[in-house]
Amino acid sequence: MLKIRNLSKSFGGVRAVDNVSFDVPLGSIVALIGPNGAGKTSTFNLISGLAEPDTGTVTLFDKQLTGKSPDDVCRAGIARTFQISQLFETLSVRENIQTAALFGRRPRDDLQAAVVRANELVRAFDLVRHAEALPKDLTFAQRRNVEIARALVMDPQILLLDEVLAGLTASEIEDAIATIERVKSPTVGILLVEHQMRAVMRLADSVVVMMQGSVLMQGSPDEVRRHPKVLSAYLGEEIDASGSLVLQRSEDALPATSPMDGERQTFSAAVTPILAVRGLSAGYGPLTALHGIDLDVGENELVALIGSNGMGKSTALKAISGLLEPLTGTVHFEGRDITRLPPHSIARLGLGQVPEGRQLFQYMSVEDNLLLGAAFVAQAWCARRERLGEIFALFPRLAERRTQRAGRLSGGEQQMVAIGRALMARPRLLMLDEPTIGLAPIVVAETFEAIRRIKGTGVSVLLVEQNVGWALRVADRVYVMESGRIVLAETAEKLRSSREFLRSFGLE
Amino acid sequence: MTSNAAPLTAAAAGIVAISALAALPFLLDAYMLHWAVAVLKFVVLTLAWDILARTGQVSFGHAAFFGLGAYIAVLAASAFGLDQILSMLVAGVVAAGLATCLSALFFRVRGIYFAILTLAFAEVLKVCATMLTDITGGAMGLSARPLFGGDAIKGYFFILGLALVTIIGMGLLSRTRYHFGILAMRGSPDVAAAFGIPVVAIRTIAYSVSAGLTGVVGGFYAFYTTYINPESAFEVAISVAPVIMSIFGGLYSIAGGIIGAVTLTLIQEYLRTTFEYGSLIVYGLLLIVSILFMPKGVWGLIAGLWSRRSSKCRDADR
Repeated sequence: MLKIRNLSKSFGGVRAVDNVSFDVPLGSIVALIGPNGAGKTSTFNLISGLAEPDTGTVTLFDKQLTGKSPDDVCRAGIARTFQISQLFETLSVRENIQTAALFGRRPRDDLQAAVVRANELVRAFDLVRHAEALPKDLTFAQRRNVEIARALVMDPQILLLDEVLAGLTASEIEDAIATIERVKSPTVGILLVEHQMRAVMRLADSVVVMMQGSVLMQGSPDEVRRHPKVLSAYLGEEIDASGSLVLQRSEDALPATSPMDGERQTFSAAVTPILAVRGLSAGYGPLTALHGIDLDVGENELVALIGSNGMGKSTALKAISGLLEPLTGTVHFEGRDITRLPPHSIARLGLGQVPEGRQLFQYMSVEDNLLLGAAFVAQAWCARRERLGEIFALFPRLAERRTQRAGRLSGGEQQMVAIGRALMARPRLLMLDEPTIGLAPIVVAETFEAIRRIKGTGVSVLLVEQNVGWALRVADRVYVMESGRIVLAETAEKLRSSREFLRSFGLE
Repeated sequence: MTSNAAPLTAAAAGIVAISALAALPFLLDAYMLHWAVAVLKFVVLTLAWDILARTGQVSFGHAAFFGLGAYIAVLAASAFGLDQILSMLVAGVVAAGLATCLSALFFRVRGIYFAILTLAFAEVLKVCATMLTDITGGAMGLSARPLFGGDAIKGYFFILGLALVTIIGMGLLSRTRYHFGILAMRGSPDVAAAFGIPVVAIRTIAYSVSAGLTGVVGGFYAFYTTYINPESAFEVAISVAPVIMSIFGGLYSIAGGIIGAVTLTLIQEYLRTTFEYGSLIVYGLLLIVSILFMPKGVWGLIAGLWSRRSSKCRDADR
């Protein structure tokens, strides 16, 4: 059993982890949940030796692990994955797993034995066809599998999984939950940090809720989801026992756009397209990732582009914004051909972008990050003070943090800065790439609320989103991508009531 | 079939190469032999530097260990009357010991900060060598008795032996689990540590071995040229040469290091004797062009062409 007792750690005066105690028994799964910045990852780092606690102890059975270096902790029997998948990029998939086998608990000096053991995991995780591939050639979900396999190959007693489900689509999450269920055994204790409540409800034997560095409560999944404070500070809405938000219920909260049953809306005709994409193809080197897509965004319309990872959604955004030169096809923005313009010219024309992973200037203040958004657009720069006020009105929390370093903010606040920065240039169209990845449920809700408000100010929005449930709730129209092609274009209204569609995305 | 033949072919090629290298000094005139020694000297320096680079730390100050080795070897031979070979080994041990001590301090930082620290440290040693006139002779420098009584062929075999030991040692390393540990920690040391790889220990050992070999070469250089002073022993060029040679030939590979050291030493000499003026400009241009068009070095280019060819063959088989 892994015992955490009175663990505390301060970073520059902020108590990131405050007197945290809990156990992870062998054979059980413990989930660690809480808002972004609650100290979950810091706790993980204290356990795995990446940081040294100020006070408190970590013991595995009778072994004292407090203050040990990461490699010692690992050899003692604790394996971990990383929040942002961190594979050894210069090693093949098999070598990644094999390296862990060579150095982990009961290290094997025998290369051949390590290869044999690695191959077992390669087979178990369905990676045989990719065993010799480099990590960069894998899909997002495959990388996650390699991460888990690399930790498991060490035969750990305790497995720490740090947001292994983040960024996966609903069906990929199902697969990952099945994988974790398979990993569960009487000889392994699993501690997972997770925002996917569906997985937490299904997998966890016990849930530890952290808030502002300390443990708010610990209990069964059922107790946790009913706890009023957890609801108000983390989940934001009640969720059912399976962990999903009920679509119907939340729809009531949003003003319904008038349903026009039977009358088929044709997109480009019904609205004036501000962005018109025709036959757009793009790729990386010899690989074509986008195969001639057609896509419209109408004036003051919110369009969502959904689909699994690696289906070409981000590539589409890059090809539109000029970051990637299209192979064929055209992009018209407000009637003007912008197909082969350089990205900065496109941005100046009024096409704003919020990149995946936020990409803030970490060492600059919130305000400077925002100002930078207007710095190279002449009209926006003249009106920057006024605009800044509007952004702070949209995100009041940023006003409180205007002088703070962007890198010090929580994930949700960073996302607000990224959106605000794009808005500073007064774009006519805002493109967002996975804005809610890795955010706590309540912050996800806030972010989508903000996006709806932005649309309310007359800005058109093109949203790439993994979270299909939410995309359906906020979007006017939805495009579904598969293998670089658009396979479905429909109003969100229609899709919300299509059982077949909802089922295909694991929402029913 | 090819897979069975490959080790045999490699062994045969190795035997032929070693025999050729053994016969070489008897075929070359004194001037050419001098250049063969210079080439081998840079082979060892480059591979030694690469040992540390493989673990993810780039040194720009290996002249510190080269110069220290030079002074220690000369002093050990003159003040304590040690045999020359023994003196060079002592120089290596002292350099390695110093690197071990420095590890605790220097490895607190990474990347460019580490590089600057090493560069600064080499300069500090140069100043020390200039100031400690009683021991080092100050700017006047020290004279040493010629290596092996001036027997150039013996000198050649010594440095050849050192190069072979380095190459074989590095070759054997790639058959152990540490090979994978080093590959993993180069890009992501924190992650590597989380998988049980003793990152700190591996780096410290790599730095010490790297410094030790450089120190032995420094001692060799001192006896070979019979005279050292702070400027020549701690010359910045000594720090920079292995970096350039590694990058030119191909980082993190034995073949790349050898190719880089051999090619650049010979090219430099050819240019120096061909152009009366501006040979360094031509040399610089050559380096710029090669780095721009062969970012993975000569060996990277060859390996790339090779794998493309063999994958074409595989496709043809299907």
